[in-house]
Amino acid sequence: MDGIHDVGGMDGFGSLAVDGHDADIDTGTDDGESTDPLSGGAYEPFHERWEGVTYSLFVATLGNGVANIDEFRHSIERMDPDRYLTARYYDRWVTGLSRLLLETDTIDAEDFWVRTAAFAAGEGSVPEREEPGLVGDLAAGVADAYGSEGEPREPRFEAGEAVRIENVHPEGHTRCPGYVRRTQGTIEAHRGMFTLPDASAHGEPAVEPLYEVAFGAQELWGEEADPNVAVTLDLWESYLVPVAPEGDAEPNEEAGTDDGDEGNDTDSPEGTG
Amino acid sequence: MSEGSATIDVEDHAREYDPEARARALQSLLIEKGLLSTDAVDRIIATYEEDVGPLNGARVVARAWSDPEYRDRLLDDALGAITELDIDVDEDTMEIEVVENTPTDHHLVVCTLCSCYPWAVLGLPPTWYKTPAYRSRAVKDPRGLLRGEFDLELDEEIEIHVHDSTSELRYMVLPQRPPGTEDLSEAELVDRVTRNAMIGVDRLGE
Repeated sequence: MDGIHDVGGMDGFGSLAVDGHDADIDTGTDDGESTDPLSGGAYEPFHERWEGVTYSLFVATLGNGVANIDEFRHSIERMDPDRYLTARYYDRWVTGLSRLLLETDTIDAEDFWVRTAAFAAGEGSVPEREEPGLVGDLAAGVADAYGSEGEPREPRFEAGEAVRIENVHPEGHTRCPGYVRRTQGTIEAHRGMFTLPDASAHGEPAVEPLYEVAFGAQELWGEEADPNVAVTLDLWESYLVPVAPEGDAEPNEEAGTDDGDEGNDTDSPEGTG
Repeated sequence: MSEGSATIDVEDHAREYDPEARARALQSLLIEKGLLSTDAVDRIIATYEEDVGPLNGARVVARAWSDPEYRDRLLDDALGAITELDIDVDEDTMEIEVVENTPTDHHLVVCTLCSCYPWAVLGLPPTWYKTPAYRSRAVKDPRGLLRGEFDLELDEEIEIHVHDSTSELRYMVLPQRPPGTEDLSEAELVDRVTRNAMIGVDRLGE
């Protein structure tokens, strides 16, 4: 989805130090040295206890098979845009997890509302229940929630090939950021078979070849961009189309599976022969 | 997914109550349903507060600075080299690629879509890493971002490679070894590594 989360290349968010769109305590860091946890700063992954609790809710949600990692990311992406930008980081997690637990009927809506009101009024209490074996089971469940099974297949592209990123705007989840769509990049490496988030986020497990793809900054941001900057992303095969060699009207959709360097590996003039 | 119990609008609920109350409500409901336990919450929090953290990455960097063969293994097969140091990486949830800074090349790590980060070696990310301000600008104006927000002035001749972490493959930067550290032991070198250098918003070596 073309959601508020897809912020790559947007302007106007201001300084990391002063913009105030994340209320967490250590937002202000215009001096990398003084706040670095290896240079005297504190390493505080959770600023308050409830943030760590929220991390354990994430482990429980994935670890019990309620949802997978892609469904979780997509749930956060579906937040109202104004709240996405103003909520604290772990508030985004609580919101995303609440949606998943309700949509799967893991919790009851009325129970949740009543219980939340009680905690907000200072009248809630968390029950004590020990189960020493659970944390190991949850870890195994989380691992399952990250991976899909699927048949390995031959990668369609190889290192050095020019590719264009599909101009697609799916309603659902994707890990193809808007800022690379319709641009041209170069395959740097084949990474192996990875779970396809676009399918996995909607209950359809699938795997695809994943590639590291490099883009020059001027291809992404125009001629005024820094000529000495490259941006690389890991992109799934279905995001990519071959770039036709010069002279071909249309890219040959069947080419490139096993014919190596012949045909569609480059758009340079000397590569056409 | 069922629409059945979604009679609650998650966004309305979130605007009504603070995140702590909502998190505590979920915690109590999941414990009651047997999906979470008191000791599991404690263990998970302790793991991220005490066991994993940027010191793991610093140990990897110091070893790579001290042992050229280890450095080669790290750049070729980061997971294998990292686990040599008894650092626990769950290969089901994360693969790691280590990218090396040189006098002519600088690497910077970001996740424009959410907050992906090599937490097995660096711990959980700092808040600024998760802000739209960092995520939006790192891919478009990395040189200006480093200069303006991190006091890091990179010569325009130095090529910047930005890694947008779109998959479960995560990136860690191997910084250059600082000059004047030739006589330091590996343990002493650990102290010279910064978390920010392993993200690429700090640059050692010059």
